Amino acid sequence: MAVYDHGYKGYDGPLMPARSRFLVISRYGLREVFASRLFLAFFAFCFAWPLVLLGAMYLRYNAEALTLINLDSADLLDFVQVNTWFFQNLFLRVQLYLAFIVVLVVGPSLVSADLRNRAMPLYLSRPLSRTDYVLGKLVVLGVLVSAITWAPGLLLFAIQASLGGREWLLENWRVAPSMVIVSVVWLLCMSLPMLAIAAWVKWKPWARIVFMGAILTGTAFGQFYKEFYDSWLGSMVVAFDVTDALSASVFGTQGTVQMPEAAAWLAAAALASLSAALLYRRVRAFEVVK
Amino acid sequence: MSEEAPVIDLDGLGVRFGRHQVLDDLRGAFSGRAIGLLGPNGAGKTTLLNTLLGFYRPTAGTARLFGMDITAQGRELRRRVGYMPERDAFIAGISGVRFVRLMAEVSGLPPEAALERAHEVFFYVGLGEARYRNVETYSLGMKQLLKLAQAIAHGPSLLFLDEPTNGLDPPARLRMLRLIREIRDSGRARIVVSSHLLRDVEECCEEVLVLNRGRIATYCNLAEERRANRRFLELDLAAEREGAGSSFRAAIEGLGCEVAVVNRRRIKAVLPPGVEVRHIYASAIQQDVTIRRLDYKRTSLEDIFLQAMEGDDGRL
Repeated sequence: MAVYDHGYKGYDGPLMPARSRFLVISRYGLREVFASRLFLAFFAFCFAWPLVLLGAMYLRYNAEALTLINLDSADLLDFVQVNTWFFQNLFLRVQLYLAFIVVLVVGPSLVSADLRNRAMPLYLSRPLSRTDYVLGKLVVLGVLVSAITWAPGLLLFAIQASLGGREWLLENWRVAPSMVIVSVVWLLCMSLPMLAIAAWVKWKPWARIVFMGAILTGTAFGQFYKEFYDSWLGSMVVAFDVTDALSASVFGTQGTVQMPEAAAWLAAAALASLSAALLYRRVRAFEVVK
Repeated sequence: MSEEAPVIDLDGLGVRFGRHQVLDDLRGAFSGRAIGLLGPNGAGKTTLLNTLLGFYRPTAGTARLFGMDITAQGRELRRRVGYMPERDAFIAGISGVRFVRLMAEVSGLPPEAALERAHEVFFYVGLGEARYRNVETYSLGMKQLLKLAQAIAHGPSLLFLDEPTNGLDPPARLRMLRLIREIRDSGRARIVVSSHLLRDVEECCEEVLVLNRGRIATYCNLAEERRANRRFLELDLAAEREGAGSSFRAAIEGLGCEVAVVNRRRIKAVLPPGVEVRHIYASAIQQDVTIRRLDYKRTSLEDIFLQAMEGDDGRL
């Protein structure tokens, strides 16, 4: 059916593999996300802090550069201790806050418009399952969050390992997988609720407000419960407490929150499962009114 | 996928939402190039389409498209199916050509082929000039054509069109019907059209399934009906001499025609196989009779539909 030939013709050409079909949705999603210059600027800003840390690491091992900017290497060695704490708190904690903003901005636009404009029957009348659709949208958030969390984290880790030598690597090897695990768990615990809320609310600004409201309400209730009953159980509904406890569990450090590791994992699993169930209830071609 | 198998094979198909039985024990095999689904609002047409597309799970029986089970082989089937939904459906914030390209890619076309097909189908449906416009700025008629474009972008073997002429002005409606007939006649895709507009279905379908209250009220093969109608004649006569009318009737009865007399000047006749209209004219000349008017009897789809709505049995 060439442009000049206006008759109807079928398609007999090759087809892409069915397994990777969900990546089409991710590719288009990412392109739409980066069509916004404002978001692009913010995303670029997300790399500022890793660059600052990279600079500090570089200076730490470069006496000539230190002399140039009139800094004493001993002061810097004391100030910038590149260890588990550096990656867990100085790098990953800051980046996860930025990733939270990314999820808050991008998440609702991924599904709410599709549901509002009744695009689901168009997707699902094709060889694409509801899981493929959700996976495709999740990959968009996954790529964005990974790009500002564990991916630069691993880069910093590799640079530090090359500068610090074998001894440093043997002492801190656990940092690399820990950054990946914490980032992925955090991604699931934030992205799935955001997508689920966006699917139910269908309007981007409201979805963001409801998501923020849910986090703040959980935090307020959790803090009240902790204070009133003097129990760690309140932390189960405080997103940042759960993140801290999980992070401490994975990095093998002492957490700031008094909460059993198992409880933190349970809270994260419950949140992700509940969100996935709510999301699946909404991602349908048509709603059935019984 | 067997091309010899019926396009749609319903095997006791039933769908229930809560306590509401929407489709009940649908049975039948349909093989036409274009199958029409007719019925009043709420008859179950859209539910049947959605069930065939795998959106709803049957609560009883099953159905097969081209011999493939809609439940067990749903994914494979959907690769070969195109769907134009009844209501507005699009992806916001992107141009028309990008939207159709995305839909073609999701159907499995490689990106370059999908882009090429998107441009082609835009020209085919007559939206070529508007393909770079944001889909949200399209008029209602353009959105209908856009929905058709995304449904055919991947070259499906079976096309489901749900109320394709909804909201179209007369020229746009004619254009849509012409496109449907063209796709049908190309032989590249079988078409299932769901509509409550009898005229639309009559103009582009060969088989018609009339649904009422979730059941099949009647089935009609329009192509055969049209052929059969060509055997029924209604004639207005003017006799040149006394008794010519009777002898003309006797003459055509002698050809094997069944004849019924309406009045002195009007008769109805059924042509047996092998007898053509020219034989009737020849007899008229021989008997000195002038045939002032000769009509083929027409049973319209409206007659069939109304008849089906009167019966309450709802079975084929």
